[in-house]
Amino acid sequence: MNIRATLTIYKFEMSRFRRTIFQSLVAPIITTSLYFVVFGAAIGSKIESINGVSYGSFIVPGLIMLYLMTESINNAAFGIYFPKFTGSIFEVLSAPVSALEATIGYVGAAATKSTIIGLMIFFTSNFFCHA
Amino acid sequence: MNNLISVSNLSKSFGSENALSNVSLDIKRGEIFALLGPNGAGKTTLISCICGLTTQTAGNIRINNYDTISNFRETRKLIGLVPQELPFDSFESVYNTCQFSRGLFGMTPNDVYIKEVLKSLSLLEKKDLQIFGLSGGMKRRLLIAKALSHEPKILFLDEPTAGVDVALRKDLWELISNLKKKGVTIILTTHYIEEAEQLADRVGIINSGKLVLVKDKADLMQEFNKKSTIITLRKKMQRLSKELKDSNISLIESGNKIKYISANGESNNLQSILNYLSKEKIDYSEINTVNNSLEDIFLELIEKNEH
Repeated sequence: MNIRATLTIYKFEMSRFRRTIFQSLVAPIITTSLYFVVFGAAIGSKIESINGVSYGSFIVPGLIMLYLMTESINNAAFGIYFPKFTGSIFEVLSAPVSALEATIGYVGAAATKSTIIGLMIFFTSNFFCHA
Repeated sequence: MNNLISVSNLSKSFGSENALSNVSLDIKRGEIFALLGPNGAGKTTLISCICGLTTQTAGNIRINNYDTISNFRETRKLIGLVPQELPFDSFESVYNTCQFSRGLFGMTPNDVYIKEVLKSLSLLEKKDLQIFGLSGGMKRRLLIAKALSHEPKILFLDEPTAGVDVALRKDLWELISNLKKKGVTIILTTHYIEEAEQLADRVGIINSGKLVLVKDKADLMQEFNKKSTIITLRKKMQRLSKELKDSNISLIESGNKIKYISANGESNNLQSILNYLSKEKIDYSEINTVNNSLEDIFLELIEKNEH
């Protein structure tokens, strides 16, 4: 197994994440913050708590999962389809890398990125919602 | 074993279109092999099959005695590929993209080697630049640097000097010659026949997916050795007289010039043409003789193949 190739793809994708930190991380956090403001604070203030859980707190896991899932799919798809679109995928296809190894690299990086985004949204939610 | 690459009865179809038909070819270790052919002849498809970018419909390919499908790891790690287009992740830096290529082949990062390759391609001072900031020629050189980043034993160059200026082309030729000296086997496709004439040890000509011939360049030049003699007349000649009726003699440029082709081993009729001109008091201003170039041979073979 070509573990180094898998790690190379992983690191390459993570470096793209760092390079595009505003689009990758800051933009989802700002968008989610708007959800917290609109649904959590504005609408949530008019809805009663159920068993001590406010509406704002209730939507936090849902919003985290929304971004976790969309970002993980977007990142993995972009990582593979953008090189396919530009033609630079030839490098991966002509390297001694199996489909499984390449998939682990791309999906692993996408999972890491979306987990980081999910955690950042979780921390941000503390500014808007209090359990 | 002297053959590094053996292609046997290779065929590739895209739907009903046959891109390659029953191609068999052996590439010797350490040689520069030039693959020539018109657009759409199947050059890139053949390279793609060997490098694993596309799967053949029939036939097999062995590299260093390993099958390219069942032992793809063994075969691919030997190959460096410079494609025809300039596909890049434009936002990556020159240095990082080379390390990425190296890593894909399972090799540990090697700062010294990558810098050496970049230096040999005059890219070292650009190593921290993002790729979109490079010129077309630099991008072409970067593709070569990426292909060399994992120290391959076989280098495929798919039209490496397309869109490159004359000075850089000469630099690339020198680089290719140096790689050959280091023992790298090079397979080159090109539209510049002059390039093949300059660099190649052997030449393969492909047309409509079929390999028309494979020969040592020197043998090919010898076999198709022809000389063209052009006699520029002072006065236009309407038609060739009966005395000059020969398949190797023709009137060109609206009768202003006589062209005589003397093929290898054929007796030279030049003297009889000159005698005739002198007898008929037809003045001429210039006589030029040129040897047949590889380009002429290529065009002749392609024409024959199409007929």
